[in-house]
Amino acid sequence: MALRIKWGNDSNFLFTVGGFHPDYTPPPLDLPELRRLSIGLLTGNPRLTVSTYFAITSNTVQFGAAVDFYFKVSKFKVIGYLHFDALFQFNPFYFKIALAAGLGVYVGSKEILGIHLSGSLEGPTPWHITGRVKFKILWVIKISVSIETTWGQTKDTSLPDVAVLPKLIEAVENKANWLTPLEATGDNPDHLVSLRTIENTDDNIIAHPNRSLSVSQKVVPLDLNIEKFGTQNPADATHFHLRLLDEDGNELNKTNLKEEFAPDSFFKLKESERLSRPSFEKYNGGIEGTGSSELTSDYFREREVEFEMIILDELDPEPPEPDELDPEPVLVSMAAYEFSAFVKNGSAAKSSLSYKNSNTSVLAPNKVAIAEESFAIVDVDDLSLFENQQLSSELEARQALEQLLAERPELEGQLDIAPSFELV
Amino acid sequence: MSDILARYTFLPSLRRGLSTKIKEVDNLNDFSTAPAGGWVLERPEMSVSLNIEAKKGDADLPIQQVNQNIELVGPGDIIGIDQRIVVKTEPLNWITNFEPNYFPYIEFYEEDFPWRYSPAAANNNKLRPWLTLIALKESEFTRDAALFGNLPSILVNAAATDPAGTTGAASSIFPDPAQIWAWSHVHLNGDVDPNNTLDPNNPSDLNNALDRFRSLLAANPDQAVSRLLCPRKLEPNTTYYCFLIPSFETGRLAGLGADATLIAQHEAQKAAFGADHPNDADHQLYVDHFPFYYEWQFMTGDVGDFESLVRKLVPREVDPRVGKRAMDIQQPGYGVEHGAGTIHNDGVLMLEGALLPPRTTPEPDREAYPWSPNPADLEYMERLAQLVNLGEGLRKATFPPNNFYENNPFGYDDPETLEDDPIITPDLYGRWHALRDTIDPAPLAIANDKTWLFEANLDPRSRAVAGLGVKHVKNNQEKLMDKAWEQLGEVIEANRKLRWGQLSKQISYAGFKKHISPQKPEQMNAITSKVFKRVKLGSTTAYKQIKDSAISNATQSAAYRKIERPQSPLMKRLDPNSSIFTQNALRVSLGNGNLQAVDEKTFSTVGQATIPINDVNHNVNTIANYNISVPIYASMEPGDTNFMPDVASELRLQSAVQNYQNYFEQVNWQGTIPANTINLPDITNNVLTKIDPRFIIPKSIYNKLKLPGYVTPPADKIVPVMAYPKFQEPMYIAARDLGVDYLIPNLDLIPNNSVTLLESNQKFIEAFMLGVNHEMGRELLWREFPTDQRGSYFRQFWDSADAVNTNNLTALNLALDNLDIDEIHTWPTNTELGTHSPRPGTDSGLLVMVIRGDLLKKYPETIIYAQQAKFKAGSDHSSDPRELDTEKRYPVFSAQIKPDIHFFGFTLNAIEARGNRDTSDPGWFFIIQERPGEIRFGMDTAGAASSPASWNDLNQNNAVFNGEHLDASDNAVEPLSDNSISGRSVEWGFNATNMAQILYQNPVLLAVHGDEMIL
Repeated sequence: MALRIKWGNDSNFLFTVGGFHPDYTPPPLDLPELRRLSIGLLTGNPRLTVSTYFAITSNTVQFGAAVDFYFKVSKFKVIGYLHFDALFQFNPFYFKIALAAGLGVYVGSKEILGIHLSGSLEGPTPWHITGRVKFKILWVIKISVSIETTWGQTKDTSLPDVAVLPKLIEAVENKANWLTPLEATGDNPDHLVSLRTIENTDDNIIAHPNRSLSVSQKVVPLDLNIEKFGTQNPADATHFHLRLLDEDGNELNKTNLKEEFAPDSFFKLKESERLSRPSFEKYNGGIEGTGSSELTSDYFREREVEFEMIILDELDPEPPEPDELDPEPVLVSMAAYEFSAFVKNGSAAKSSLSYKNSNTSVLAPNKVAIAEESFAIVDVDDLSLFENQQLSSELEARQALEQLLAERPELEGQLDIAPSFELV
Repeated sequence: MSDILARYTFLPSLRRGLSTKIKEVDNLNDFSTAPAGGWVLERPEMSVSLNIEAKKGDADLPIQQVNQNIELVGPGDIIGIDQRIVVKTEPLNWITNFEPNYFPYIEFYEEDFPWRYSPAAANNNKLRPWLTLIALKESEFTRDAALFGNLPSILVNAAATDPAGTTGAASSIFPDPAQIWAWSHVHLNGDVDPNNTLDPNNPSDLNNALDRFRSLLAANPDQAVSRLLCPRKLEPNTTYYCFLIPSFETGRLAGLGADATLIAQHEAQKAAFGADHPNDADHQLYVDHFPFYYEWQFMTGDVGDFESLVRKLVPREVDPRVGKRAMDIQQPGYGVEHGAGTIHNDGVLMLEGALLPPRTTPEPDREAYPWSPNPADLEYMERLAQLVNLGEGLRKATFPPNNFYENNPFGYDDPETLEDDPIITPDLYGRWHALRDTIDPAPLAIANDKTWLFEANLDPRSRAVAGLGVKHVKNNQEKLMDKAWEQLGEVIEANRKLRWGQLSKQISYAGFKKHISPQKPEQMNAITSKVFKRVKLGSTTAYKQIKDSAISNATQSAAYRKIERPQSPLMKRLDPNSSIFTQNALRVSLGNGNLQAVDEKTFSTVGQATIPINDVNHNVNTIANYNISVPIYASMEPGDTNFMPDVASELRLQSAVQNYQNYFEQVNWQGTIPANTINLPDITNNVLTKIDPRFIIPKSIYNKLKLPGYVTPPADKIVPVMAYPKFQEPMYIAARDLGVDYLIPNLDLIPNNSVTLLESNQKFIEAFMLGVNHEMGRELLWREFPTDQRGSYFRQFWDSADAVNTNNLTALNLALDNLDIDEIHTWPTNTELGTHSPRPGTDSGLLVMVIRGDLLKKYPETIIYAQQAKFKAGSDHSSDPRELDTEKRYPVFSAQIKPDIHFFGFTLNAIEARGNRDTSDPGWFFIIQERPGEIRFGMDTAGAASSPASWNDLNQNNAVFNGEHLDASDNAVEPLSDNSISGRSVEWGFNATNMAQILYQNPVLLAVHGDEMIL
């Protein structure tokens, strides 16, 4: 039995008892060797075993059962079997059911009497059926009949058209797709205040004043040229870009938000790519805008740092009478280097929130970091970075390259994609 | 002074994020003219539009716009604040001598906090904070016994002076709700306009100033705070309770736990006080109740200013008992006993703290190591050495010695017990740093070896102190490890990747060695040609080099390889014995010029030309001339109309063809000699070196890691990252927190309001730091931190954060200059404990000035430094007051023991500091001043009631008060002659920055001469 749930970048789900359909290749999720769930009804000789399996993955349900019989008397043995396997895939829908049964009498390994049936049905259209019957009595009669037919209309390979834009508009109009930090997990913008329970219904969007506003959707990847939309052709538009504006039409500072999309749903992939690419990749799915992520104000004033200086050459526990004091105290200013040394340990630095408490010591070794992998478009002549095109995924690099070639055909054959480290 | 002078910056408010886009402008509590659509209720709002820019192919589609109205979290959503955000209150809680001429205030760490939830946009630089600070007298409120909501609350009473029938919310104990913008500002300890040229009214100047503000803040976020003042006129000798309350009605109701629907009825901008609370059925419960987020209390006093508190200080000689206490060493257990006779001083050693009374000569009180040469004491140390060695002995195969089960201190009598219940023995401190497993227990070594390893491990005093260090690490292991991991970043993941890289390198190299290296060079070219585009040889790729050479890139293609393979139709037809026409060799020969290709152009024109054969003498019978009018590479078959074979014709044809061939060979069909020959096998070999997994895989792995400043490993090696954390926290705090008596025994013998001198004890510091570092090494290993345990993770004992950077050093060098111990692994093995300080002048012990006094209770941020004194020109050196010269000496370290003891380490001795009037040595002044940045606001209590001449003359009599609170109305106060501050004219009530500038009070700097401070 195995259960695998994988979150994050390449999420996946898999649950199985007794393994998988024989035609199914499970995803590489570090699975153990899975044995069929079996019950031995008779053990030894004769032997009768029933085995079964059941599996659910993110896109399929599969199950099957088998009964095997074995009986041996001196050189003779009787072998019987009944196998059943079913696989249902949801997207795109597909199923395959196979049934096989047979009974044979053998001398050694030579079959002398036997009857075997097997058949499978695949669908939906085009339906494909295979069947085979074998019948054998000694050397006398040997009959083998098989059928294999395909019928039903082959699905039109040219994809039907679908309007994508209305779906995207519907998605961004949906207030539930407007993420506000009230829902965001992790970095809590309100960590310094406690909020009452806010009814953040789908009728209103309540955002945090100190933070950004973001809208994100999983309908269609943004800023990429899509080639298809699910199983259909995008009719109205193939490239989408979002801009978030305030009331005055100023664009709010923007960062792209990534969502997981199935590349297969938006790009025409070759068979080989389908196998080699993860089932989900991160593309731009939304944007995040802030009024301004910078602190802003509307005025400033400055004041020189001055101290009233009192020189006490003779320290007297009793303060002098007020009229003994200098009527005009001497003001002294402070040099910036002195000032900056002292202010950095003031009361703000003593706060538990302070930078002084949280920053890494200047003595500390340099931080080790894992670099994000990036791909570069390079000139094949000298492997130099071409026009500073460095992208975070191979797909993006490929798309950028295609676009570049479309705009400037003269570059054909002159550019290639390489992982950035090869440039060094 | 030519130095750049320091300045403070004030901003009226500060915001970021969506709050900068709020629609409604702050109405300053004036609801008389409602905007179209009415006042926004409950929460501030903004609206955004989302433009969808779609393209089909290259054609742009019309932009689709989706509009959304966004509500922002407002004061009505907040039911508490994290108390950590408050960095300071002025005065501190429970201060009993606050001067009534100052205004109380509260400071927040986050610079935008007071305006973060304000439900409006600034109106002419005026933005009301969502929090208000009020100070109430005991009689003005009662505490609510039961909680309404989440927050504690008070019920305010209507003041006696209020009109009858009004509720407490309208009382004069609150500031004017329309003016609360004036009492909040951002304070930056820095200069946003160093050249003094920017005009805050000019938007681009303002932006420049703000850019500088942001960059200063980014460099050190501790440099700025936000502040709320309470502008109430305080009475002397009165207790005040300060409360941080919501400014807006929504906030008040939310804090009292009112129902959401009730909160939603109120305008977002409606003030919580300043008017009667509605007393309808819904609100009844909440009338005059105010929740508060924070509170503290203080009392005003008559005296308590900085100067009078400094004047209270009296110099005193330190009590000789300070810094030492007796330690009984007779029976430490585990078989450590002294030998025959009595041990030193009846078994008592004096355990010294980190500070000791200044050394006198001779030093009767300080006992050196070893404390006694008597055999009884030596045996004690020998036993201790054996115990310390026991752990290592147990670990080694030669153990246990024969007699172990008879006389071990743990009472084990058979090996089985030992296996089940392992022995834990005292550690050998510094074993990894000194690279020693054991310590020599021979009596001779113990008697004579006074090096640090012996002293730290065999002197019970040092062991005790090192043990304190160990205890600190054990107590704080989680926190320390968190910081350690944080310092190194993703080192575990990096090392995991490196290990994968090692595996991948080995596997790939095995494959490479088996399948690729053994190939013939020619074959190798075919195999590697696929990656030519990706391999750079010199300045260009292999691909480019081939492209530029005699041979075509096509020879590197799969199609060509197909043609060239041994069994291909072409190759089968070529001479099998030729050395040129074999697989791969063809390419090589083409590359190096041995074989020459024909220029394509020549070839094609010739092929189509008609060459008359009669030119070359072939006059044959009567038949017309032979013309070869088909391309020579077209097939010529019998029956071709242009070709009529017969014997004679055949001969003529042969001759014609011969001539034809001669013609081309001699004239037109010259092979082109390639301009750039290349050595294909060489290129291939070079490519092969470049793609060798031994090099390419380390390269790819290291490029996935960011290892700034680490030693670059050899190109073909993958080695794990080794690093260790380094902490800058002063360790005296660790010792202090374990118990002040551990740090400095008998400190309570220093009386209040006194100044004394002590000396830093480097032996204590080194023993303690050795313990801390030793234990940290163990902890790191235990947590699988990539370390060899030899690091010096902690080198800071005293606090040198206040070190003034007089020589313009980098932050790192400044920090390194102020460490208290050298790296332990560099301590020479033949040196004694207490000799490893990198600080100059510590060999004789640094002079430490100890101040204990009321001053430090009230002004805990006080700083002190020394400045040279001088005699006034022509003055009488024996009696006239001295004045300040320019040279300054800052303390090299400091330490604090709350609430009222501060230590300052100076590189200045007592004699220098005092000076001597008789020898005309002016000595030094000690400057005691309030820490810059810790500023105060207020005005003189007494003074003329007439209008002030300048802002300096402002006092409680000529300022305008609105009831108890200062009135911030425009130009309510106008100075008669000069309204400038720091060179800019400043108007009353213009915005919060002006009010901050006007009310700012200069702090005091006191120079007290050394002979008054030091005995």
